[in-house]
Amino acid sequence: MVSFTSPFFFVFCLTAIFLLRMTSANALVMGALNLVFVASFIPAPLAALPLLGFVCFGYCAIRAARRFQVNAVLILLVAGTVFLFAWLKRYAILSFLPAPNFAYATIGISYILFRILHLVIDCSDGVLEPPPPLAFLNYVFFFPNFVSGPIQRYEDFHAQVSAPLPPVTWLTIHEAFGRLVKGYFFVVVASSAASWIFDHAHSSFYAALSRQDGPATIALFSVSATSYLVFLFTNFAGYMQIVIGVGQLAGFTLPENFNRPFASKNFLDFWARWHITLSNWFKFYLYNPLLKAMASRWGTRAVMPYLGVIGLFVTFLVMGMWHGSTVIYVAYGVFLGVGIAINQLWQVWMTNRLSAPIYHELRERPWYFQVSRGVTLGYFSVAITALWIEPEQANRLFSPFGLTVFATTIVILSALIAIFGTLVDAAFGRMVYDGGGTKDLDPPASGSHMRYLGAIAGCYVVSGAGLTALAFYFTPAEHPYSTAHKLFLLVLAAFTAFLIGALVGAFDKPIAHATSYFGNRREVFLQTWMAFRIFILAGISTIMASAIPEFIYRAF
Amino acid sequence: MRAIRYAAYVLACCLVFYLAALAVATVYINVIGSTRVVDAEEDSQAIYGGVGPPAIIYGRRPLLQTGPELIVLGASDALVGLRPPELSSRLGGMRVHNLSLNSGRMADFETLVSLAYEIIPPRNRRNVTFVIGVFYGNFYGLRDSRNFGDSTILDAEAHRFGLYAGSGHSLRPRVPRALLPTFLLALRPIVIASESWHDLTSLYSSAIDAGLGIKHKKEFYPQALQKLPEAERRKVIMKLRLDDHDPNGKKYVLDPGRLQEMVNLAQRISAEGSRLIVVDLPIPSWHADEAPNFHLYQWEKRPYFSKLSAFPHVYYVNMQDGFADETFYDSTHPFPNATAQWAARLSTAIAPILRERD
Repeated sequence: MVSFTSPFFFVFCLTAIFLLRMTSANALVMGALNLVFVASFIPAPLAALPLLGFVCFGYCAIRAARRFQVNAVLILLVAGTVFLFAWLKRYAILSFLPAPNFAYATIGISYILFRILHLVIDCSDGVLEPPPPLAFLNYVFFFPNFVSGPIQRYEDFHAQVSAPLPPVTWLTIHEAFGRLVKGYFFVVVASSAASWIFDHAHSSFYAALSRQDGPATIALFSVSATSYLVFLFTNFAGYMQIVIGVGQLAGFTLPENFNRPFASKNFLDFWARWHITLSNWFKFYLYNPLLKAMASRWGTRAVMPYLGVIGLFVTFLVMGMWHGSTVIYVAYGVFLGVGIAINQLWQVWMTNRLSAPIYHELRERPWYFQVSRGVTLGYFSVAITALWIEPEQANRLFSPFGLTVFATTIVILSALIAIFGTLVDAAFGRMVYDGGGTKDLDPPASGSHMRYLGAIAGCYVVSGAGLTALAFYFTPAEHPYSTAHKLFLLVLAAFTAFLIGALVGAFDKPIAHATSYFGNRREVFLQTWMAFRIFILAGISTIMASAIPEFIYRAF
Repeated sequence: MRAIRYAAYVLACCLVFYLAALAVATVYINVIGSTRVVDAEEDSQAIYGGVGPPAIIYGRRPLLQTGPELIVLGASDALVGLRPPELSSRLGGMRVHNLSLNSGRMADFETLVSLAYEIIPPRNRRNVTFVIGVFYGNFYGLRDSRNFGDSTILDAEAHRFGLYAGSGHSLRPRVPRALLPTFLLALRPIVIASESWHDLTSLYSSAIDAGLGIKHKKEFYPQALQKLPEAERRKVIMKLRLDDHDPNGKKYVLDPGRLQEMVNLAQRISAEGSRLIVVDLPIPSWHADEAPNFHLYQWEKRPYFSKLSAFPHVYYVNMQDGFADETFYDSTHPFPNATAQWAARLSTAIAPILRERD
């Protein structure tokens, strides 16, 4: 099984990049690489059979869809593919059916489903021609996006493998390395830290929930929910950065899957920034056809916004159910659906009540943005409880006490996030979470690049020291921290925060701007800065894993 | 080709950064800690890398020196009570190291001796004197247990960063012995950074727990205990004093195997040509009076301790009596201002022994 920190992964990626570049992404070479990569996840040939069967069925479905181009056939093929997927994934709803009586792999099957359905639907519509078998296999098993996406469209993939690979420029390499550093930092450090907080809090949450201790349950639920959200984001977004970076080095541009979701204005905006390729897929292949079907039957100008609400609810219900095979994911889907429906209804209601220009103006106000973002993130944090809660505890959460906790936590979390967001913005502008990347915060044309860089670095340093000061405030008074020790920890935390800023790429843009007058030496400087980031990342990873790469010992 | 050049440059820079970190770490250790002696005392005032098991595993390079060396081993009472600077000043400036370990048991002492011998140059072994400070608790344990379980904090520390494999007696470095000091040197930046990171995350951990109202077993802070009024302190001590049962209710038993381990260790040190002085450390009289395990130890130890004198260069010093109860802040540890008395008593007793070979 491949881990993204294993030597196998590094060696595989280096080999893959080299071979793809050398052969201009020859289809056979790519096929062999995909085969090696996928095989590393599968323990025995027999375990791969169901997955291969599913892919073969998918290919036949694509051919059939193209051949008949009839809605009834299309529905039958889509239903058959989804049925086969649900059966192989052992969805609870199909538990009455017998399943293969041997252990088999379903790795990547959820994303293969989307790729196959995309081809089935588009081939049926005549938008696409069925790909040749090898191209199809390379598309569904393409190693950078095989495990967890992103969900790339076939036409995009085909265009890239058909055309000559883009030349390797210094900028491409630099950008790819930047993505790799950020991605590994997210996966190895940030998600581990969030997971540590989550582990710390969620078992206490279960205990508080079972003894029905209201305030403690709400506090612990809030911490568990937010830490899990951060864990999920850093793990997933970090993984995306890694695969996109590897793809870039190999000569491919994979679609982005995240775009600063914590800066979302509302729930609808959130889904345009979070797991973007999945949202787009559902938009194209579920929401749009559903809305079109409803509009053709009941569509009037007055009803259309409400049809949109229904369409969104159904889309997010299905999206939630896709995430897992048990009943809790239905609740998750309902929760997402209700959230998005309320958001849409609120927009319709406010537009009707205030008129579109006034509502637009209201939405642009900072306090509205903060409240709206707070509610969005608070609601989503609690919604994803389905992804981590144990069934027994979920039952407790569905009791009157649990539902009260649920609702109160959403309100409290929303308020806290709104307050925290307001404070951060008031203190630092949007620099902290934007990493100096927004248009309005781009450095001025001349003069004060270093001041701008200093301001962003200051944000991180002050945040680190502030967080540590807060920790001292909460730490039991009898703990023997001397003044010198406290001072040392404050400095250490500030420096660590600076390093974190460097690892997430917060200083990259201002440094690039500030060094623009270096001329030819600029590249050398930026490469050295990249080396510093890699060095820090390697150090933090070594410390967190308490392990030195095995090859060093083996060398002796 | 361009990508390879880029990667090569990045790797070269990383190497330079590591060398710079190594230089900074070395300067840091020279300023904060000591490069002359190893002292594993847990002291909240000392910051990072120079205290506790990390100091024993990764800070052993001072043992590379040649000349007369005194190495103190034992549990926390030896760690707190036998301070290297106080002993050194009374022994004519002799280099004194303290590699004692909190909650150390006999098996740990043997591991500590092995760890020391890994670094001490063979030609200097004759100049080395081990002082093992013991009290009855070192010889008690749960039946069939090496040290409240199968692995010790020393093993855990040695396994960190993968430098060692095995455990206890079979703990062995994964690099050739000759290269071990170089590896210990190279690991300095990582150990310091790791200890700093651990310190910072411990702070956050305790703050999060306190903030969330998660309660743990009350921690024991000797420094806090020292600040208590006498009457209150005695009350706390009575609660904390060594029990004859573990937290699960299992009875501690005097383990003849541990007494025999001490004899075996004495034989080994003697065979290496080094000197060994076994010191019976003091405990307050109220502790000795009320602990049946202490009396059993006093009786059972005699045949084993008498065997010690059979080995060349192995000696026994009894320091059990002569220290006022007021000099202890709990059931075994002396106040900081009383450690000079321990040093004076020990140095007086061992000075003639140290002169013997000279």
